[in-house]
Amino acid sequence: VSPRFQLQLDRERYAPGDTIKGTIQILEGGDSRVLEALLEYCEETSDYSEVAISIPSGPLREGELTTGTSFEFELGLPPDALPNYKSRHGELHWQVDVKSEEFARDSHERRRIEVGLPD
Amino acid sequence: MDFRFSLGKGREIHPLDFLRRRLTRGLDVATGDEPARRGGEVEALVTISNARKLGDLEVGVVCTEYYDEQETTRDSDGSTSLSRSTSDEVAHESWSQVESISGTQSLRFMIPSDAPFSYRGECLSFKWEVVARGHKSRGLDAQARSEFSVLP
Repeated sequence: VSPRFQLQLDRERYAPGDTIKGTIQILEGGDSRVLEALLEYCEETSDYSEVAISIPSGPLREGELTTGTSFEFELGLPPDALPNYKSRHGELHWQVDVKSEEFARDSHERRRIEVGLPD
Repeated sequence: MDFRFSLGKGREIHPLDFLRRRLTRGLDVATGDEPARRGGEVEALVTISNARKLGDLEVGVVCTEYYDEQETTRDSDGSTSLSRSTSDEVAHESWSQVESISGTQSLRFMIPSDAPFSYRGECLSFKWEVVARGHKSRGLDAQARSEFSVLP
């Protein structure tokens, strides 16, 4: 059985160099090999998407996930992180991707975050 | 049909541009030493060593967006196939007339704060260039281009 989880972040808006603090709550336990969080800078057009930068938290849990447990993590935005940008034909944006590696298809919970330059 | 020479992602050159550059003699463009930022200015330096045959001259800054799309092509047997191609569109441009006289001229252009920053990605890129072009009443326009970087 694949686990079901929920991602909570301390904020929605960040600046380069900031630390993102988050909690993963396991809503429904299940089989998992590794649970980790990734901070990603993504490119998107109407037909394609690519992950340009991926910053892993490292394993937060190895093995089965139990209902009701939670895992905290911290991910650091690089000091020279590029900001989000939306253009006519595409978008550059940051997201947190919580990934449970499983024997079948991996489970993901993704959340976009706003990264802008300080005023 | 669209013919292009590819020099890597975001670096496609149209054959006419290639010919224009070959035909451009005595015209060169560059940017100043200061890094350009959104919301700031960039200095464009135009050097004309031979003003003859350049025509009416203008200089500008151009940001081109390159984006990957899925193309559907129909084969002669009626079957369809999908392919990935890179399209481009001007995201920002600003132009100014300059005198066609020998020597170096300096112009300043504003980079809007909501314009794209320089970025070279896998499926989306933004390329900034300073461009000088001479409009001729007959024949191909002369054109000189130089890429520069715009920081966020």
